[in-house]
Amino acid sequence: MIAGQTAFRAMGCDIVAAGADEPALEAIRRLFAERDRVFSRFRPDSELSSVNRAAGEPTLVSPRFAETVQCALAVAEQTGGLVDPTVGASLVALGYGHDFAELGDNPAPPGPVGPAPGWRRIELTGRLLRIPYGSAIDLNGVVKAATVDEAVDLLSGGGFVSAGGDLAVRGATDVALPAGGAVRVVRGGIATTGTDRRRWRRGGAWYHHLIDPATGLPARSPWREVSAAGASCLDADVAARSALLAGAGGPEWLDRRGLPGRFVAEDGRVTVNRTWTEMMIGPECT
Amino acid sequence: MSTALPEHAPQRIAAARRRARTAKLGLAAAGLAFFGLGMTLAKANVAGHSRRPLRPLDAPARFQAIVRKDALAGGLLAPAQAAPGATTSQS
Repeated sequence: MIAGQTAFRAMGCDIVAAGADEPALEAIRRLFAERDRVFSRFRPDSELSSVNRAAGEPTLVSPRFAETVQCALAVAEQTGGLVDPTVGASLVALGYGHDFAELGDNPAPPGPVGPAPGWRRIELTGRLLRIPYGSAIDLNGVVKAATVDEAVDLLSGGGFVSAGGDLAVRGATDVALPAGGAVRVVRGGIATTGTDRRRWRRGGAWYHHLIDPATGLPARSPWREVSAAGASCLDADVAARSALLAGAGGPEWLDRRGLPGRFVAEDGRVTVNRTWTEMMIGPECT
Repeated sequence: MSTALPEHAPQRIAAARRRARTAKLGLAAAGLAFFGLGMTLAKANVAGHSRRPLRPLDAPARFQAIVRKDALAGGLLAPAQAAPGATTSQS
């Protein structure tokens, strides 16, 4: 860690803030703690848990929660359903129903899973929310990245905020990339997602957290890790996850949207898409 | 004074009723034709009448799709110029 950086744990990952003075750092800590209290799947007292317990019934949610669901639905629409918040029940059935740190090697086979009900079946009218009966929503991806974006706005000067590697910058920041190399993030954010870190064993088989909504099972992708840059950390995170879920078509998926992406294949080979290449004018980065 | 009807009066009354019925039918037909013609002309010439099936006022679906597709905006990257002070890794 370089000077001026502070790290703490929240949302099940390491949060790193650079360039934050003491009041800003305190505000960032409070922000992450508050978001975790509302949106954690693992806390029975969170608002998200209440909504999931009331699946099938209309629930009056807080303005923040309604806004986040709206954001998750917009993300689902923008990604053609690749990033779908209704995969929560699949994650639980596959064994990811507790904080990742508490997941061990569970010999019991996973519960039955099927295709996600689909984001279009979520009904949100103002603050009145109804999710499909028997389903559970997972907003973690959207919440974590959006919180990083909010946190970086709390910095008075230059710096960055990172949550488990999802990073937003204020001012140009050089960022190390998976499998070697580095890139300068001039504006916005960068995020990396992958299949070999947040994974667990259940019934003798390995599972990871990137669920394909079409099957309800962990996605099969030729990519081990995908990094993408966006105008915000949320955009970057959504782009990285979508590109990984899009499989072999991931680089093209990002190119069509003008988003730079870097892909690490299962064998460690690194590929970048056309947009990434066009943004690089020097030879240092691949 | 006799009040008996003339011998040919029933035929005249029947003929009058036929004429009245024909006139009513003619008037109804003319009314319908006038209404139809009026509507046709109105549709062709009055701005408030639609000449083709109604379409929703919102933006065309293709335009909306393009806007949504572009909603994910790319950041700005450049080659690294110093030792990295941050790292992006799997979350």
